[in-house]
Amino acid sequence: MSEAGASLVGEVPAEPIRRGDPSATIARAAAWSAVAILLVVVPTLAALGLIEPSSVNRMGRYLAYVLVALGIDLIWGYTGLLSLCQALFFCLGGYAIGMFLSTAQGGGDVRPEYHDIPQFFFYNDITALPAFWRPFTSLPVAIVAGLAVPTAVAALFGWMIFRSRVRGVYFSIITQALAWAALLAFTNHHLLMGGTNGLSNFFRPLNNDRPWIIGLYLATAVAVVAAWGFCRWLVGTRTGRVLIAVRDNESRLRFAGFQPVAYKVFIFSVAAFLAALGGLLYTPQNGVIGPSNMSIDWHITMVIWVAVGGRGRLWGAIVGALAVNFAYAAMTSDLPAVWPFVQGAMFLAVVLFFPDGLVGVWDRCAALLRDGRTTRAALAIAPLAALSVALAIEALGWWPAALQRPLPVLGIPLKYLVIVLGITAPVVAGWLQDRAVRVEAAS
Amino acid sequence: MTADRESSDVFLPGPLDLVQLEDVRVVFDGFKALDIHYFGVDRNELRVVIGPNGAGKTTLCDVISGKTKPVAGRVMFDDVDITHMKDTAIAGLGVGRKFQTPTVFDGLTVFENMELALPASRGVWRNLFARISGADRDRIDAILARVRLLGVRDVLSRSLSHGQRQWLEISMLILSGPKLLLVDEPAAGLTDHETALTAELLTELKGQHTIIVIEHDMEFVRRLASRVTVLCEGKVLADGPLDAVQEDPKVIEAYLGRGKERA
Amino acid sequence: MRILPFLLLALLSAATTVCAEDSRAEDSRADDSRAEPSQAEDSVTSVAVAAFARLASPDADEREAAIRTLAEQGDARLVPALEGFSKGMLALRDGRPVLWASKTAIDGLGQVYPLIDALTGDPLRAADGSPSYTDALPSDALRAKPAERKAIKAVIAGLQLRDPDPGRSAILSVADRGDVESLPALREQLAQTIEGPFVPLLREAIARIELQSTQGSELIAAIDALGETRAARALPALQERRRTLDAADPANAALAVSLAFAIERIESRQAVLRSIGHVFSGLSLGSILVLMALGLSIVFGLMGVINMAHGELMMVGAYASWGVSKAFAAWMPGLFEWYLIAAIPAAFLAAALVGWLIEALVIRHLYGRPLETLLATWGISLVLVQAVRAAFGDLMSTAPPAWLTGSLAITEDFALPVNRVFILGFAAACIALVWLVVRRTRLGLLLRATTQNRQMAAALGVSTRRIDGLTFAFGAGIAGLAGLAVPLYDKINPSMGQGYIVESFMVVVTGGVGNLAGVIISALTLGLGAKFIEPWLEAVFTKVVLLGVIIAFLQWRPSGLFPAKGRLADV
Ligand SMILES: Nc1ncnc2c1ncn2[C@@H]1O[C@H](COP(=O)(O)OP(=O)(O)O)[C@@H](O)[C@H]1O
Ligand SMILES: [Mg+2]
Repeated sequence: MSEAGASLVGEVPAEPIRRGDPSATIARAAAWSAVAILLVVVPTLAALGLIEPSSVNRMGRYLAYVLVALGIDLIWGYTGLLSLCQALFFCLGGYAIGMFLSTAQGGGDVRPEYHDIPQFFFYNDITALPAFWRPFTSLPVAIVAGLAVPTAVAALFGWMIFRSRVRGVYFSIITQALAWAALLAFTNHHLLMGGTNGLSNFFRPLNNDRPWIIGLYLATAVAVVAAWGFCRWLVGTRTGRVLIAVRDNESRLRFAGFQPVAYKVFIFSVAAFLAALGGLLYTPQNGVIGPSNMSIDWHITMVIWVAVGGRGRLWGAIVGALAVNFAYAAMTSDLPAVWPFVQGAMFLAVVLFFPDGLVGVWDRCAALLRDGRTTRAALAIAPLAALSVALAIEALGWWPAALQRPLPVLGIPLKYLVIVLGITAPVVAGWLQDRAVRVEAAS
Repeated sequence: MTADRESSDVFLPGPLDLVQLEDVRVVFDGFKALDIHYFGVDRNELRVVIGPNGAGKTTLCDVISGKTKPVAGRVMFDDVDITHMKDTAIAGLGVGRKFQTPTVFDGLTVFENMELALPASRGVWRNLFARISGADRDRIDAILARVRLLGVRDVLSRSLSHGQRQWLEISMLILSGPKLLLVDEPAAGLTDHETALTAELLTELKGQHTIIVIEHDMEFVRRLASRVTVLCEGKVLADGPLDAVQEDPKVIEAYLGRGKERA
Repeated sequence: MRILPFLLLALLSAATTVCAEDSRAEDSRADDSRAEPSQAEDSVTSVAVAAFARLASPDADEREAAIRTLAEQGDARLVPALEGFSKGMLALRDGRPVLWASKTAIDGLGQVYPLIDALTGDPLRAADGSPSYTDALPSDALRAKPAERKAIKAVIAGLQLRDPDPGRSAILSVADRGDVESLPALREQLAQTIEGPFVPLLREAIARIELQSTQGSELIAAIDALGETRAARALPALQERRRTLDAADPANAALAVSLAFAIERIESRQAVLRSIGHVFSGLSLGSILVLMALGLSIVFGLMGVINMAHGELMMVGAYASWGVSKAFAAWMPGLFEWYLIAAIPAAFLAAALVGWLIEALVIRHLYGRPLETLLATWGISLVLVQAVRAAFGDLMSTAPPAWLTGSLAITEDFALPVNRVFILGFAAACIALVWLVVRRTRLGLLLRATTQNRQMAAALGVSTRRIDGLTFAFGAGIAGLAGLAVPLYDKINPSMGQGYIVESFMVVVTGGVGNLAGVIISALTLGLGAKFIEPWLEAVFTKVVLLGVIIAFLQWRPSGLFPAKGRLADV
């Protein structure tokens, strides 16, 4: 009766990742090469002039989005709280640094005819920097405030709503209302934050001169790597496990003596901090920050990055944010009217058919690898690889001119045909192989 | 001591009882789910609560663990009035609970589930830097081995079978070492073999822990060989050793009669 | 639920009183216009032509008699001719009075006087039918003697006063000018008018003129009269009086008391009117929210579905109504005024159809996963917006029917915009419809059963799937009806729904999910709150404040006004 062992225990499906697994080796190699590409290869290529500064700038901005996505993955993927106000924290960080950059001390485009303060104050009939703007003439203050204010707002707001046991969709709806209120407030020019246009006229070289562009890119890339490391550490701690427990069964956790409120407030603040950091790095590279960066659809779009990548796994958030944004960049320049359809389809597909996102594709491949079905695994991963290559070329701005030309009838650039083929061909091949295996087994 | 009390009036309060419910009433939309004059469990006693479906057994657990608040009456635990305390605070005092439908954290492995049950700090900051000690690891492994879960130690608990989940939840409860264990239907949905092991586990704990077990299965209750309280329509109907209770005509009418017919 | 019927009743009765007022006003106007032309052409004109001919006489008595005759006609159409006579711009041509109108620039002629018929206002035609002009004043002008001018002026004032509609503005202008000379005419008019809308107006005008022109007890009487009539128009003058009054002089004590009392009475009346206005516009704002939130709440309560595309269903309704209006304009312009009647079913059905499709294709697969429905329906909303944009373009507006424009004068100094009144009544009707469907139909019974206990309903043989589909379509249809109302006061565009969705959700959450009465109360409270805060804050900050209030409210009652009960509550 008392002997240990699993003999009586039913069949147990294997854990996705185990040490000594071929897929784990591949995953580790991929992670390290991604870090190397981000921190070394891209800056080198950019310094050598092999990548257009505008492409570097775009990569930098999208990496800033990755920070937000990591936060969303922590709060939604791990803790199960769908926050619909992350873009607000992003903007709070962005506005803080934007305030600094638009003043004279930050190298902003101020002019004597506008009293040497940001030009939009003209519309408010203000001739001297308002008191609450003055601290932001110092870079350290702007950075500290840009990180601390959103974090504190999240902590306070989170404490208020979690304490009254607002849960599930109610949390989403209330965060959306917060975002809506903030959007309305920031749109109003009486807030002295630039109204509808937001803050702009920053120090010009920031997003025009190569050294500045590469420098800011590098700063963002370092921040992404550091944030990724931090998140990995966080989810590995016992606190990280409690977060998953909150997601799975919050009331059960209470009867185990935990205070879910504390954990939820904590993770909401961490997510807000990451979003704010993203905004802080995004704004100088973008050259403008305004209410349009916190419109209602942005908050949800940010969530879909994580959903596409695969929630509950950190690299899913990273890959998702980059993939969706580069796809967006490519499509809005080539086929602007089609993008909303693609985006809508993405929302539906990710919810209805691929709840695990891109991570799910990889998991399937890893399972096949463990079974020793290497060819099938290669076919399974091929669509993901094709997509990655296409997005990498897009990111670097390296599409050959021949592929950019629109097709005669459809009017779509040839590259889309190549991408679609690259994704569907392995899917079809994999399906055929599965069938062959089944037929073989049957006979 | 127990023998002493068995002969006494069932409704007489015992001043030494760890858990005491006095004149507790729970009402849902005008429906009286629980109406108890007195219910007490002594320290280190194993008490079995039986009763037909809807008798209010789970509600009794809910009241003790703070999930449901009574509209009237007083709930005492370890000489502390917990009637109006929050569920987390009550858990902090040492009331552990296993739910009727087994609830474990699906996204965590078996070991990680156990880790969260360790009697350690529940705070965010502490847990950020908490390291599991070798001794704790050994204790977890020992318990897991005892309930035959060692082989699935690193498996996500979402893929466990029903019986394994029951055991995992009981193991978590045992590991957390509460002063009072509330065990709601631990044998539900288990095979006979599994039921036997569960009964064995609970009898092992008897004498060192205060336990309230809720169960339908008469065979299981007999194995536990403990004092039994019969609940019916929210009221305490009878109290005493199983055999004595089974003789009680009221009980036979309300519960056992039907139960025997069914069996 | 119990207060729902009362609310409905209140809304309906408010709407009907307003509408009744409207139709009465319209009736009286219609009578007047029907009576006027024949009268003018037959008797007045011929008498007037004769009278003006007599004005050419050098005999003063003859002329006085002619003026009296004209005054007795009591027709305001004679006013231009009389004014011309007083200024010497009138002459007889072929026996009819002709007026030298004010100088205008005509191509090729320079500054000239157009000649018009003094009685009809039609231009005088030359033989070839072209209008005639002249650059010289008439040499044979009929000109009032200075002594007669005063009499003429009184006649003009009298004529203007007697005419029902122009009379109103005439009285006002006389009062605004503080025209002491018209006082006798006003008094006479008042003496003749026993009752009717002009009595308070006349009293007010007389008192306002007296306020400027009299002293002592007469002045105090005038001030008291102004207070009596609650005349808002007299407020500035009264306040000016009080400001310039030498309060230290004991002789002025009575005057000061009268002034203070009158001002106080007028101001309190203004405050009441303002509040009524706020209540009204708050209710009409809230009623759109009610329509939006009702469907949302039913669907949320029944299926736990967060429908982010609900705003787009509203948009579909708005576009359906727009399409119907265009179709009417193109094919049945004669019936255009009534296109809304066809638009109501069109908007409902279009939105319901889209909703039904959404449920069948997407939502059905997502039960029990509310966060996923949120994302999926958001995706649907993106597709719907872009599809409509591609099909119809961006900004649309549709002309509301003429009977929905303008405003309803409820009292002398208070009017309501007709479209808002309509929307309020329409919303009340829709709420009644929802209430009937939920409470009195079989679908409603099955719906409530399924909401309360899905398994049990299914076990009893209810096809919960079908109920879900129908309910979703029904909720969508109500959103479509909300969409129908929007073009009546605003432009429509494909993304109009997004402006409503957040607030609608707040209404649902505040009211308590799945609770219709809660939805109505919280929507109307929100609308009223917005309108009462707005005077102090801008509209934008008002919303910010309200959202803050709601969030604070949810601190206190996390499941809204009317929380769901039972074991389901903590799922
Ligand atoms: N949250 C609740 N809301 C309404 N009724 C409840 C709730 N919890 C329990 N009940 C009712 O109380 C009665 C007792 O339930 P319970 O304690 O679960 O019985 P059991 O003895 O089978 O565990 C049942 O009739 C049940 O329907
Ligand atoms: Mg039970």
